[in-house]
Amino acid sequence: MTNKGQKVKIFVLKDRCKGCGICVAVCQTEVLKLSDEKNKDGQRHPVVIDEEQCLNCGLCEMFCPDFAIWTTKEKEEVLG
Amino acid sequence: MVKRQKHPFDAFLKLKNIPTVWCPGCGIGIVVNTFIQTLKKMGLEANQITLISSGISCTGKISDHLNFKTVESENPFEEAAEFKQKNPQSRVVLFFNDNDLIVSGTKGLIQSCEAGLEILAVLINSFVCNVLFFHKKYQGISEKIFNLPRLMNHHGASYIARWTPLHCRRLSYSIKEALSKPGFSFIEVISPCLMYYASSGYEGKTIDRMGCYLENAKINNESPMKDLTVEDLDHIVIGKFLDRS
Repeated sequence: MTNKGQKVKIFVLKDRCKGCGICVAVCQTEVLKLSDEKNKDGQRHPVVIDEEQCLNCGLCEMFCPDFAIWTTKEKEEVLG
Repeated sequence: MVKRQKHPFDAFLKLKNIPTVWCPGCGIGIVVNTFIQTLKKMGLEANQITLISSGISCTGKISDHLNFKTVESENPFEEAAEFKQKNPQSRVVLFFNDNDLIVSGTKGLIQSCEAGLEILAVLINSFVCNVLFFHKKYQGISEKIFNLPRLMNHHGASYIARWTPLHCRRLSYSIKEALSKPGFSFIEVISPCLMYYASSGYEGKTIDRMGCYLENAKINNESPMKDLTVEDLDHIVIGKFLDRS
Protein backbone atom coordinates (compact mmCIF):
# COMPACT_ATOMS: atom_id res chain seq x y z
CA MET A 1 0.00 0.00 0.00
CA THR A 2 1.27 3.44 -0.89
CA ASN A 3 -0.20 6.87 -0.53
CA LYS A 4 0.62 7.85 -4.14
CA GLY A 5 2.58 10.94 -3.25
CA GLN A 6 -0.23 12.90 -1.65
CA LYS A 7 0.66 15.12 1.23
CA VAL A 8 -1.15 14.11 4.39
CA LYS A 9 -0.83 15.99 7.65
CA ILE A 10 -1.70 14.35 10.98
CA PHE A 11 -2.76 16.49 13.93
CA VAL A 12 -2.75 15.26 17.53
CA LEU A 13 -4.17 17.28 20.42
CA LYS A 14 -2.14 15.60 23.12
CA ASP A 15 -3.87 17.20 26.09
CA ARG A 16 -7.23 15.71 25.07
CA CYS A 17 -5.79 12.19 24.75
CA LYS A 18 -6.48 9.56 27.41
CA GLY A 19 -4.02 7.00 26.09
CA CYS A 20 -6.43 4.23 25.13
CA GLY A 21 -4.31 3.23 22.12
CA ILE A 22 -7.19 2.63 19.70
CA CYS A 23 -5.67 4.87 17.00
CA VAL A 24 -2.39 2.94 17.14
CA ALA A 25 -4.24 -0.39 16.89
CA VAL A 26 -6.49 0.53 13.95
CA CYS A 27 -3.76 2.19 11.85
CA GLN A 28 -3.10 -0.06 8.84
CA THR A 29 0.33 1.35 7.91
CA GLU A 30 1.84 1.75 11.40
CA VAL A 31 2.17 5.50 11.21
CA LEU A 32 1.48 6.04 14.91
CA LYS A 33 2.94 4.79 18.17
CA LEU A 34 2.38 5.66 21.83
CA SER A 35 4.86 8.20 23.15
CA ASP A 36 7.30 7.68 25.99
CA GLU A 37 6.57 11.07 27.51
CA LYS A 38 3.28 11.82 29.23
CA ASN A 39 0.77 14.61 28.76
CA LYS A 40 -0.64 16.78 31.53
CA ASP A 41 -3.03 14.01 32.66
CA GLY A 42 -0.21 11.48 32.83
CA GLN A 43 -1.30 9.54 29.73
CA ARG A 44 0.87 8.38 26.84
CA HIS A 45 -0.45 10.11 23.73
CA PRO A 46 0.18 8.95 20.12
CA VAL A 47 3.07 10.40 18.14
CA VAL A 48 3.64 10.26 14.38
CA ILE A 49 6.60 8.10 13.33
CA ASP A 50 6.30 8.07 9.54
CA GLU A 51 3.90 10.62 8.13
CA GLU A 52 4.72 9.74 4.50
CA GLN A 53 3.13 6.31 4.92
CA CYS A 54 -0.25 7.77 5.92
CA LEU A 55 -3.06 6.87 3.51
CA ASN A 56 -5.52 9.44 4.89
CA CYS A 57 -8.02 6.61 5.46
CA GLY A 58 -9.43 8.46 8.48
CA LEU A 59 -9.75 5.38 10.71
CA CYS A 60 -7.93 7.03 13.63
CA GLU A 61 -10.20 10.07 13.40
CA MET A 62 -13.27 7.84 13.12
CA PHE A 63 -12.46 5.70 16.17
CA CYS A 64 -10.99 8.31 18.54
CA PRO A 65 -13.38 8.60 21.53
CA ASP A 66 -11.84 11.88 22.68
CA PHE A 67 -11.71 13.98 19.48
CA ALA A 68 -7.93 14.21 19.79
CA ILE A 69 -6.62 13.15 16.36
CA TRP A 70 -7.45 13.99 12.73
CA THR A 71 -5.88 14.07 9.31
CA THR A 72 -6.04 16.48 6.40
CA LYS A 73 -5.04 15.86 2.81
CA GLU A 74 -3.15 19.05 2.00
CA LYS A 75 -0.88 20.93 4.33
CA GLU A 76 -3.59 23.39 5.21
CA GLU A 77 -3.87 24.25 8.86
CA VAL A 78 -7.30 24.92 10.22
CA LEU A 79 -7.18 27.96 12.41
CA GLY A 80 -9.48 28.79 15.27
CA MET B 1 0.94 34.58 17.62
CA VAL B 2 0.12 31.04 18.68
CA LYS B 3 -2.04 29.14 16.25
CA ARG B 4 -4.63 27.04 18.02
CA GLN B 5 -5.38 23.81 16.21
CA LYS B 6 -9.03 23.01 15.80
CA HIS B 7 -10.62 19.60 15.40
CA PRO B 8 -13.16 19.40 12.53
CA PHE B 9 -15.90 18.47 15.03
CA ASP B 10 -15.24 21.33 17.45
CA ALA B 11 -18.35 23.17 16.27
CA PHE B 12 -20.46 20.34 17.72
CA LEU B 13 -18.70 20.20 21.10
CA LYS B 14 -18.87 22.18 24.31
CA LEU B 15 -15.17 22.86 24.51
CA LYS B 16 -15.12 23.75 28.21
CA ASN B 17 -16.14 20.16 29.03
CA ILE B 18 -13.53 18.52 26.81
CA PRO B 19 -11.71 16.14 27.57
CA THR B 20 -14.74 14.00 28.21
CA VAL B 21 -15.60 12.33 31.50
CA TRP B 22 -15.62 8.76 30.17
CA CYS B 23 -12.94 6.16 30.81
CA PRO B 24 -10.09 5.73 28.27
CA GLY B 25 -11.40 3.85 25.22
CA CYS B 26 -15.04 3.76 26.33
CA GLY B 27 -17.51 2.90 23.58
CA ILE B 28 -19.70 5.91 24.42
CA GLY B 29 -17.01 8.23 23.05
CA ILE B 30 -16.88 6.28 19.79
CA VAL B 31 -20.68 6.37 19.46
CA VAL B 32 -20.73 10.14 20.03
CA ASN B 33 -17.93 10.57 17.47
CA THR B 34 -19.88 8.44 14.97
CA PHE B 35 -23.05 10.42 15.65
CA ILE B 36 -21.31 13.73 14.89
CA GLN B 37 -19.70 12.25 11.75
CA THR B 38 -23.14 11.16 10.55
CA LEU B 39 -24.61 14.62 11.11
CA LYS B 40 -21.72 16.15 9.15
CA LYS B 41 -22.25 13.67 6.31
CA MET B 42 -25.98 14.44 6.22
CA GLY B 43 -25.26 18.16 6.17
CA LEU B 44 -27.17 18.82 9.37
CA GLU B 45 -26.12 21.50 11.82
CA ALA B 46 -26.08 21.53 15.58
CA ASN B 47 -29.27 23.58 15.95
CA GLN B 48 -31.38 21.10 13.93
CA ILE B 49 -31.03 18.31 16.49
CA THR B 50 -32.52 18.10 19.97
CA LEU B 51 -31.08 15.75 22.56
CA ILE B 52 -33.30 14.59 25.41
CA SER B 53 -31.63 12.69 28.20
CA SER B 54 -32.50 11.49 31.65
CA GLY B 55 -29.15 12.57 33.04
CA ILE B 56 -28.68 9.13 34.64
CA SER B 57 -25.37 7.23 34.35
CA CYS B 58 -22.59 7.74 31.81
CA THR B 59 -24.83 8.28 28.77
CA GLY B 60 -26.61 11.06 30.66
CA LYS B 61 -23.37 13.02 30.34
CA ILE B 62 -23.52 13.03 26.53
CA SER B 63 -25.67 16.16 26.56
CA ASP B 64 -23.03 17.93 28.69
CA HIS B 65 -20.47 17.53 25.93
CA LEU B 66 -22.48 18.28 22.79
CA ASN B 67 -23.42 21.71 21.58
CA PHE B 68 -27.05 20.81 20.75
CA LYS B 69 -30.30 21.99 22.22
CA THR B 70 -30.63 19.68 25.20
CA VAL B 71 -33.48 18.87 27.55
CA GLU B 72 -32.98 16.95 30.76
CA SER B 73 -36.00 15.26 32.23
CA GLU B 74 -36.93 12.48 34.60
CA ASN B 75 -39.38 11.13 32.02
CA PRO B 76 -37.48 11.53 28.74
CA PHE B 77 -40.14 9.81 26.59
CA GLU B 78 -42.97 12.04 27.86
CA GLU B 79 -40.74 15.05 27.33
CA ALA B 80 -39.98 13.85 23.79
CA ALA B 81 -43.68 13.42 23.01
CA GLU B 82 -44.48 16.94 24.24
CA PHE B 83 -41.53 18.43 22.39
CA LYS B 84 -42.48 16.62 19.19
CA GLN B 85 -46.04 17.95 19.41
CA LYS B 86 -44.79 21.53 19.68
CA ASN B 87 -42.04 21.17 17.05
CA PRO B 88 -43.08 18.52 14.51
CA GLN B 89 -40.18 19.30 12.16
CA SER B 90 -37.41 18.78 14.73
CA ARG B 91 -35.29 15.63 14.88
CA VAL B 92 -35.18 14.23 18.40
CA VAL B 93 -32.45 11.85 19.55
CA LEU B 94 -32.37 10.09 22.93
CA PHE B 95 -29.31 8.34 24.32
CA PHE B 96 -29.84 5.71 27.00
CA ASN B 97 -27.92 3.37 29.18
CA ASP B 98 -29.44 0.10 30.35
CA ASN B 99 -29.92 1.70 33.78
CA ASP B 100 -32.43 4.29 32.66
CA LEU B 101 -33.98 2.30 29.81
CA ILE B 102 -34.37 -1.31 30.92
CA VAL B 103 -34.63 -0.84 34.68
CA SER B 104 -36.67 2.32 35.06
CA GLY B 105 -37.78 3.47 31.62
CA THR B 106 -39.45 0.46 30.01
CA LYS B 107 -42.97 1.86 30.38
CA GLY B 108 -42.16 5.05 28.48
CA LEU B 109 -40.23 3.09 25.86
CA ILE B 110 -43.14 0.75 25.11
CA GLN B 111 -45.74 3.53 25.13
CA SER B 112 -43.82 5.76 22.71
CA CYS B 113 -43.00 2.78 20.52
CA GLU B 114 -46.67 1.81 20.26
CA ALA B 115 -47.65 5.41 19.58
CA GLY B 116 -45.17 5.52 16.70
CA LEU B 117 -43.41 8.60 18.02
CA GLU B 118 -40.93 9.86 15.43
CA ILE B 119 -37.72 9.76 17.49
CA LEU B 120 -34.42 7.91 17.46
CA ALA B 121 -33.58 6.04 20.67
CA VAL B 122 -29.97 4.87 20.95
CA LEU B 123 -29.30 2.36 23.73
CA ILE B 124 -25.63 2.01 24.67
CA ASN B 125 -25.87 -1.29 26.48
CA SER B 126 -23.11 -1.43 29.07
CA PHE B 127 -24.43 -4.57 30.86
CA VAL B 128 -24.04 -2.78 34.20
CA CYS B 129 -27.47 -4.00 35.36
CA ASN B 130 -26.53 -7.57 34.56
CA VAL B 131 -23.84 -7.84 37.19
CA LEU B 132 -23.89 -11.64 37.14
CA PHE B 133 -23.20 -11.75 33.41
CA PHE B 134 -19.44 -11.32 33.81
CA HIS B 135 -19.13 -13.44 36.94
CA LYS B 136 -20.66 -16.66 35.68
CA LYS B 137 -17.24 -17.84 34.62
CA TYR B 138 -16.37 -18.22 38.29
CA GLN B 139 -19.64 -19.03 39.99
CA GLY B 140 -21.52 -21.11 37.44
CA ILE B 141 -24.47 -18.72 37.35
CA SER B 142 -25.76 -17.57 34.00
CA GLU B 143 -27.69 -14.39 33.37
CA LYS B 144 -28.97 -13.48 29.95
CA ILE B 145 -29.10 -9.97 28.53
CA PHE B 146 -32.64 -8.74 27.96
CA ASN B 147 -33.65 -9.05 24.29
CA LEU B 148 -34.77 -5.50 23.50
CA PRO B 149 -34.90 -5.78 19.67
CA ARG B 150 -37.58 -8.50 20.02
CA LEU B 151 -39.60 -6.33 22.43
CA MET B 152 -39.38 -3.36 20.08
CA ASN B 153 -40.40 -5.51 17.10
CA HIS B 154 -43.41 -6.78 19.04
CA HIS B 155 -44.56 -3.23 19.83
CA GLY B 156 -44.23 -1.98 16.29
CA ALA B 157 -40.95 -0.10 15.95
CA SER B 158 -40.12 0.87 12.37
CA TYR B 159 -36.33 0.53 12.44
CA ILE B 160 -34.23 -1.81 14.59
CA ALA B 161 -30.47 -2.34 14.42
CA ARG B 162 -27.75 -3.54 16.74
CA TRP B 163 -24.01 -2.84 16.39
CA THR B 164 -20.88 -2.63 18.51
CA PRO B 165 -18.60 0.44 18.83
CA LEU B 166 -16.00 -1.10 16.54
CA HIS B 167 -18.57 -1.39 13.69
CA CYS B 168 -18.83 2.38 13.63
CA ARG B 169 -19.12 2.76 9.86
CA ARG B 170 -22.18 0.49 9.78
CA LEU B 171 -23.49 2.26 12.87
CA SER B 172 -23.11 5.53 10.99
CA TYR B 173 -25.23 4.21 8.08
CA SER B 174 -27.85 3.03 10.56
CA ILE B 175 -28.07 6.42 12.29
CA LYS B 176 -28.38 8.08 8.89
CA GLU B 177 -31.21 5.76 7.81
CA ALA B 178 -32.99 6.05 11.14
CA LEU B 179 -32.83 9.85 11.17
CA SER B 180 -34.27 10.13 7.67
CA LYS B 181 -37.23 7.76 8.23
CA PRO B 182 -40.58 8.29 9.93
CA GLY B 183 -41.59 6.23 12.93
CA PHE B 184 -39.89 4.97 16.05
CA SER B 185 -36.26 3.95 15.44
CA PHE B 186 -34.25 1.90 17.89
CA ILE B 187 -30.50 1.25 17.72
CA GLU B 188 -28.71 -0.86 20.31
CA VAL B 189 -24.95 -0.55 20.71
CA ILE B 190 -23.35 -3.37 22.67
CA SER B 191 -20.52 -1.78 24.64
CA PRO B 192 -19.81 -3.50 27.97
CA CYS B 193 -18.51 -1.24 30.72
CA LEU B 194 -14.72 -1.41 30.70
CA MET B 195 -14.43 -1.06 34.47
CA TYR B 196 -16.78 -3.98 35.22
CA TYR B 197 -15.05 -5.93 32.51
CA ALA B 198 -11.66 -5.32 34.11
CA SER B 199 -12.86 -6.28 37.57
CA SER B 200 -14.06 -9.72 36.51
CA GLY B 201 -10.76 -11.20 35.53
CA TYR B 202 -10.25 -10.09 31.94
CA GLU B 203 -6.73 -8.82 31.43
CA GLY B 204 -5.13 -6.62 28.83
CA LYS B 205 -5.33 -3.12 27.51
CA THR B 206 -8.50 -1.42 26.29
CA ILE B 207 -8.00 -2.41 22.70
CA ASP B 208 -7.41 -6.07 23.62
CA ARG B 209 -10.67 -6.09 25.55
CA MET B 210 -12.51 -4.45 22.67
CA GLY B 211 -11.07 -6.93 20.17
CA CYS B 212 -13.69 -9.47 21.27
CA TYR B 213 -16.35 -7.47 19.43
CA LEU B 214 -14.65 -7.90 16.09
CA GLU B 215 -13.86 -11.57 16.65
CA ASN B 216 -17.14 -12.71 18.20
CA ALA B 217 -19.78 -10.47 16.67
CA LYS B 218 -21.49 -12.10 13.69
CA ILE B 219 -23.46 -9.98 11.25
CA ASN B 220 -26.76 -11.60 10.36
CA ASN B 221 -29.40 -9.20 9.09
CA GLU B 222 -31.95 -12.00 8.57
CA SER B 223 -31.71 -13.43 12.08
CA PRO B 224 -35.06 -14.25 13.75
CA MET B 225 -35.82 -11.89 16.64
CA LYS B 226 -35.97 -14.65 19.25
CA ASP B 227 -32.32 -15.60 18.62
CA LEU B 228 -30.98 -12.16 19.49
CA THR B 229 -30.52 -12.73 23.23
CA VAL B 230 -26.90 -12.26 24.25
CA GLU B 231 -26.07 -15.32 26.34
CA ASP B 232 -22.33 -15.00 26.11
CA LEU B 233 -19.87 -12.42 24.83
CA ASP B 234 -18.59 -15.15 22.49
CA HIS B 235 -21.87 -15.18 20.54
CA ILE B 236 -23.16 -11.74 19.66
CA VAL B 237 -25.51 -11.40 16.68
CA ILE B 238 -25.49 -7.92 15.19
CA GLY B 239 -27.06 -6.38 12.11
CA LYS B 240 -29.92 -4.33 10.77
CA PHE B 241 -32.88 -6.46 11.76
CA LEU B 242 -35.93 -4.49 10.74
CA ASP B 243 -36.76 -1.67 8.35
CA ARG B 244 -40.50 -1.29 7.80
CA SER B 245 -40.41 1.66 5.42
